[in-house]
Amino acid sequence: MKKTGIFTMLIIMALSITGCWSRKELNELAVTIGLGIDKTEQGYRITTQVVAPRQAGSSSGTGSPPALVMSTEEKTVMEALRKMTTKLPRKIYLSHLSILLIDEAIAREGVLNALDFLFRDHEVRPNFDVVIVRNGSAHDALSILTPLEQMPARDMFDSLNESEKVWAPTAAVTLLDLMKWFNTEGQQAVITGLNLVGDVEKGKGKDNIAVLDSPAKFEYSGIGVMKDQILVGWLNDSDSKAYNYVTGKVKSTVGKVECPDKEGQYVMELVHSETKIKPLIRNGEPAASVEIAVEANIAEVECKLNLNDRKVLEQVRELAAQKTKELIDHGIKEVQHRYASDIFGFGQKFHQKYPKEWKKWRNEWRRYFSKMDVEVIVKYEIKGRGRIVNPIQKGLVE
Amino acid sequence: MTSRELCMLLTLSYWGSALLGLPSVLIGVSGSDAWLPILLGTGFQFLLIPVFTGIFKQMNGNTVGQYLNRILGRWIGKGLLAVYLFFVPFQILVLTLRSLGDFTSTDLYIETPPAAIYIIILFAMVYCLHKGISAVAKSTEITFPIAGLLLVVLLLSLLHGAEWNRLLPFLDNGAGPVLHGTTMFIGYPNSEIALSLFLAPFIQSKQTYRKALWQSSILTGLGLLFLTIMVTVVLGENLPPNIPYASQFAAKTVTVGGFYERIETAVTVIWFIVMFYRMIFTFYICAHGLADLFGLKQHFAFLIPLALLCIPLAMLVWDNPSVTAEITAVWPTGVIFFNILLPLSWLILGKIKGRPVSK
Amino acid sequence: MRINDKKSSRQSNREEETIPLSKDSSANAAILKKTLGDSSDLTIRCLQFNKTHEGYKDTTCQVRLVYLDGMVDNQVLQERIIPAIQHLQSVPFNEDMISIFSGKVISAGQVSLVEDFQHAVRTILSGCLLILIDGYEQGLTVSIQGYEKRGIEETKTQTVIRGPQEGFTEDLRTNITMIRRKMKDERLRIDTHTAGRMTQTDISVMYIDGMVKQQVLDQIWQLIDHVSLKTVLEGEYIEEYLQSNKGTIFPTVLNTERPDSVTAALAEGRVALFIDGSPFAMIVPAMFLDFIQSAEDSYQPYVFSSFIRILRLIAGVICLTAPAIYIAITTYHQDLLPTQLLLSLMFQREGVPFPAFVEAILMEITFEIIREAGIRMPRNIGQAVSIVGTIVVGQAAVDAGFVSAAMVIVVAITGISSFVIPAYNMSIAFRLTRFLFMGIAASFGIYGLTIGFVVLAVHLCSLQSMGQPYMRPYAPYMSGEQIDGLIRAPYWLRSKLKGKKDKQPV
Repeated sequence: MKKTGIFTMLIIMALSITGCWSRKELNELAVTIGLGIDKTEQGYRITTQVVAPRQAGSSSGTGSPPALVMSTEEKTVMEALRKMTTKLPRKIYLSHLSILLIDEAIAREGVLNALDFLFRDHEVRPNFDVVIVRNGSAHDALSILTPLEQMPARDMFDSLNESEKVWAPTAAVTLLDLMKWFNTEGQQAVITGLNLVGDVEKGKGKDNIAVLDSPAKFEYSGIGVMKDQILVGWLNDSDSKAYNYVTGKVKSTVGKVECPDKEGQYVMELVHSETKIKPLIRNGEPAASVEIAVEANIAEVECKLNLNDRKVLEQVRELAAQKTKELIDHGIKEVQHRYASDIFGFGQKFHQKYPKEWKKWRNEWRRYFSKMDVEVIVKYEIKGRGRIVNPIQKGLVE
Repeated sequence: MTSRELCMLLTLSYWGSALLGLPSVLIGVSGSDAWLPILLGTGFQFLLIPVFTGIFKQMNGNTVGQYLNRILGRWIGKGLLAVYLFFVPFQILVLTLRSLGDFTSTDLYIETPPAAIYIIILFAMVYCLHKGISAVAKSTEITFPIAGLLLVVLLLSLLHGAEWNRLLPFLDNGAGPVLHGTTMFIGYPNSEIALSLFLAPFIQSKQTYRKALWQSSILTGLGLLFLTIMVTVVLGENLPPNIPYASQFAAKTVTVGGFYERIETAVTVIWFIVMFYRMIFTFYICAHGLADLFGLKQHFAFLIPLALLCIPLAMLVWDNPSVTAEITAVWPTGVIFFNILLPLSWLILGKIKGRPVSK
Repeated sequence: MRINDKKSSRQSNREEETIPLSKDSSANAAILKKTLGDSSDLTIRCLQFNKTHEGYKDTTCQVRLVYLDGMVDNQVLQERIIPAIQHLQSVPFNEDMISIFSGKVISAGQVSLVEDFQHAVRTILSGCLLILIDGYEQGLTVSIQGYEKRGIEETKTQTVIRGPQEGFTEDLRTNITMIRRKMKDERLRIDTHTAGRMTQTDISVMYIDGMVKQQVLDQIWQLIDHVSLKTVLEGEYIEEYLQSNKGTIFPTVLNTERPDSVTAALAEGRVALFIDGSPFAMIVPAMFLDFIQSAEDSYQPYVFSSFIRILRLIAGVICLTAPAIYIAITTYHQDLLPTQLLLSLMFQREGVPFPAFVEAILMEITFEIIREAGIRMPRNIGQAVSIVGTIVVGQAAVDAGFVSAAMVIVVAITGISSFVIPAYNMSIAFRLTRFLFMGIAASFGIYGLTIGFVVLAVHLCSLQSMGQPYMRPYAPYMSGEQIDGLIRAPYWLRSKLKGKKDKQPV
């Protein structure tokens, strides 16, 4: 009994003496969902998009914007973030970060210095997307109000992930991907670009969500090719799509193909695709075959075709396959020749399959990669034609 | 103590700090083949089991102290026991405590001083040991399934982000790194099988003891094997060496369908549970061994002094985190000597001295 | 019904100095009257009749009936005992009156002899009729207790949808009868003993001979002998002696109001204790699992019963940890919440002046107050209290911004979960432990919670009930008992397995 008493006392003492150092009440946090890093003369300008819970949580919009944007300038990222408290009554809380915007200047110089804090900090989760702002500053991009989602940063995050899924020329690159890529031999990084469209200054006001057609928007375009940590250039939409095909990230996309009779086009909607990269050694030199199995539906037809005809359908299939192959070929060539940066991770594949040879090539991999022979095989399969069989046209369906 | 309880207590204690730290260390040494040392090490552990069942038989229900006194004579026996207690269980206790503090202060409670973390867990352990080691062993029947279930959930969740060809290339740098990894794994946590001798007086028969050793070796091996494989396939071989708490980081990367995420608490909870058992196990051995050393029946008197001693030691044991790497490098050698070679010599000595007179 | 098999033998250790009865019945009656302080309900009736003898004629003999009015069955007294004595006109003088009385005259109740005043007083107090006859140093007690008592009614605290509805009453004999009616095994043993210096409460220990270890019984008797209370009014008075581990709030004695539960427990080889005056029987040994099982589990399909048992365990865990987890997550581990949820929680917490821990403690204590008020109030007002308490206070507190809506939800769920646990004393233990968990979660978050949970597990595993491990059959694991653990196996499976491994006698 006496012992129990002493124990209880000690535990209560321990509880009351200790504890509560790391305590953060919910209403002491400035939940940051978007972070922007811009290069300035001084160092970095950090922009945070912080949720204003009073507005964000209420179901009836109060009229004032749901988030606020703050920025500070300092030599390093961490300093700038901490300096934020001079303007904000709460501590910046980064666990719920959903998007990180970097301006192109930083990307051109190398991103590692700017990102080290995010790699290191325990609060930061590795699942948010990283995007490069192509025309303008990260600060501007974060300041644009968006109509659909309440949080502009959430909006960016969702639309990037959605477009990766159904459109394909974008890549939702997370911090984790970057961490892995920067650490892996024979694999270079990519980061998607973001363009600001319209009048950015107008977009910062409430007007942007007051009218149906917002004066300022953002749109994702192109994938940025990195060499080590430096941005070397951009891929256009079709090459970006090729990148996604090769890395097997395409879940769904659309592709237009010219009709067999050269009059008009038809559009294929991709529903499933699978990629296999086989590293090969030909004559002692690295080569690779990229095998892509695609399942697609016919989604839109402008041509005069009888899609009930087996031969016609076969022709349609072949043309589509041809088109896809060309697209991918072009994309790979472009990356090989223009940037010579192995964003497809062929090198890693060689490392895994031919570790001995890889040791010979690893130091000069850039050279080997740019002249590597990549064979693209597309296995195309048409699954369906939609609700109607042929284009609506009198007299065509017999 | 039943065989189940012993097995679960040992497994939890082996898992101890290994669940969080081992994948990172092993991948750092053996690269993408990190799973191989675990297989080899577990196999090696199977070979050790007969040694310990042999000693168990020789002990004949005595405590380790009494056994050593018998085979080595009173003074050498006591001396050796004291040295062993200091170098193995006590060090494990202090280092485990320290690594708990390191983890909480880097990843969970940055501002909380580690001393507070130590105090609370030491109080908990002193309380539990007052209830007796049997109660602690019994409680594993409740906590082990929970820890095991969480581990399985974690492993299954990691499947989503797995890229299996990250396990390639096989034996990239030859067998050297794998063997190095194997010695590391044998040292930590495999060789701690020797600590189970201290529970021998609670075990009824050699069969029970042997069964528990086998099962705990298999469970430990499987748990760590799958975890290391999953960490490798999720994070690759290059990232984990740079992230000391790789399994927790791997859990942070899990996102399935945009809503099943943020499950790293599972790792944290498992880890706190296993750390608790690892520490209470070594704590008990220290206290009980001391009681044995001074010829006392009860170990309760040593609990609070030991606990109080641990706090400053854990804080002083190293001055900066990079010492961890050095300790990790030296640790296996010492531990293999104390946990494998010494018991082996006891066994041989015991055999020479012949069967003990039954009490 | 003979219940005092061992009563007299067990009482020997308590025997004080005895004053024997004298031959003069009027003197005896006077002493009794004095002992009982001339209480107004003490009734002494003097009956006279003539004894015939060859030598003497018309010798008047006096018989005195001493009893407490209201404690004896008046009907039996008036119709069967008094007329019988009055008709006793022609008994030869030299005959032994005592044996005639006990053998021929009295045709009701159980008759026994008393020789001293202490015993006589005690029997009178327990509602017996004392017959004193002139010229004898012995008295006769007739147990014709007939006090008013509550009839057998439906159970109030352990209601079931399907299954027997009757519950115990305050009367020990009735309760024992109810068990006898259900359990027709000749090995059923009932030992009775009294405890409480003033109340002299009867305690009956019931068990199946051969299924209970003698040590357990000895232990129980030993513990009951240690009871040195003035009053014993409810099982709890004894229960606290029976708790093997004193430093715990977890109950190790099961209470039940249901005869069927007691019967089932007896058949499993447990011991049941009845306290006269209490409609609750106590069952020992009682394991943790027994407290989350309900009698109804045996009367509903096994799949459903197993589901419900697991649900109860989950409810128990929720009751124990929900507020603690809420505190831990909202003050330490905000990164575990999905972003949307975090934002809506933040919105609710905007303007709440207290830290989450204080908020939680306030709400929990308020809830406990409302609950207690609901129990203490007369039943119809109680409902009003709980409605006012839950709806009005909760809503108003949220509107006023004192607490966040999420907190109210957590507290409400915790409260409702605590009602799901069938045993009230277990639910009390959970409710109290919850505060400890809240405290540790407030200072150490998930770390504290995990440590707290492990310590709780060790604590529970260290408990024993009458030498049986408390967490049986899970810690230590007993495969033979899994058929009725958290999962209730179907009966046909049970009878199949019975040959292999029955529940071991405790």
